[in-house]
Amino acid sequence: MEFNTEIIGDKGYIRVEGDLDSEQSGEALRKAFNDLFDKGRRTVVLDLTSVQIINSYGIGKVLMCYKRLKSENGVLMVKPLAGFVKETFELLMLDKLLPVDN
Amino acid sequence: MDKDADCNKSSSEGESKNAVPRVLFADRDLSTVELVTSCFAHRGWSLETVGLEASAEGNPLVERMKRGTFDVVVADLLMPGLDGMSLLRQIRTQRPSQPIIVVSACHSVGDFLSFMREGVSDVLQKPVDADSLTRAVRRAVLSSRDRERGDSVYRYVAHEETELVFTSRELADVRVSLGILDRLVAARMIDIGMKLRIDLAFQELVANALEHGNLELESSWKEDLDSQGLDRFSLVKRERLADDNFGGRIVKVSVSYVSGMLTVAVQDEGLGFIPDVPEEWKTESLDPHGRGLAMIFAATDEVEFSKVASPGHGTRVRFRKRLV
Repeated sequence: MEFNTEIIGDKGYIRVEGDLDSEQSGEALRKAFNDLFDKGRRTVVLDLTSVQIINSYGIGKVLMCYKRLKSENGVLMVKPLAGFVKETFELLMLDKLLPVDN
Repeated sequence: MDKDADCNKSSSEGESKNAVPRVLFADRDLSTVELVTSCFAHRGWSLETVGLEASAEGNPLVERMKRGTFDVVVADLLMPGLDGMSLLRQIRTQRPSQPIIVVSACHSVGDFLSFMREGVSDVLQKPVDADSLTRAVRRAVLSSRDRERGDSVYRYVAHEETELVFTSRELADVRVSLGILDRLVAARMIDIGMKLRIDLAFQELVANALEHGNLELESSWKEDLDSQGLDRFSLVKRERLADDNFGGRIVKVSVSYVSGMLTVAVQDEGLGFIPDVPEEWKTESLDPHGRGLAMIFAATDEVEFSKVASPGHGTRVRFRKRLV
């Protein structure tokens, strides 16, 4: 499981390699997000294209990132999703909440 | 072609003992009988030959098949004076899934198609080449054994009931999985996507029983961070796992798969809690938690919550999913 962060201009990027289905992976996402947030990024793009499985631990952390950004007029975006992760986002209607960064 | 050399070459590739095919061969053409007998003998395969001339007792091929089973039947069904298609249908009536290879000196495209429609494994042109026959027999045996394996897996998983008991501490350390799902995938009764959805629903149930049931943790604590950025949820979880009053509590998991219906129940020893289940999951609800329930509902046909009245407390959550 790997979380790579990158800053390009105003945007912060988090690329997740592995699955978001445990407390540990959720916690790692939180840390990666905090790193970008603390550096002043208010637009963060989550790249979950390499994630096969996501469960409530992962979803909970994604929503926490969303709420934290929203409270400061920021925005959480996602790279185009596919497979099970896309299905889960649609089921929980997160696709309506998180704009896509193409 | 040097038939013996060819047979020896193939034989040296090795044939495991339990894979020795039992072949019933029916032909009137002596040169083909000779070739097949010689080739099979070199390979160590089990071969039995019968004639095709009908007598008062009926056709010897059909009669022989009534008295024994064979992996493959090889027969020339296009001989003068023989109604091969009728013979084939008699075999099919007797043994619907019997692998059959047809050999014939001259068959039209129409004959070929008719045989294939009747489900024969292969149609070979005479004079039969030892290599082609060997390959055809192998293919037929393998596909037949694959089918048998699938059938036996199906029987194996057709009825299964399991009950497992874990302490909270054990559950925190291990990932419990539903082995039945792997067996159903192996039997090609469900696909990987279905397995994944049901497994995640199960993981959500188990996590719920452990964290909110036995350890009595509040979801909102996940957002309650201390000065070092550690959340209260994780800290209290650690403390309670070490405390026998919480860490020693039991989670019971029972799984049954009967006649295509999967029923999974998870029971904890917590205070007993029945969640409010919204009629519709709404985007406006931004609670970072409680999404697991939506995943359980989406992956299953029916979810039922009940408080456990005795011997202590707790909640029992059961889901059902029709898989076949």
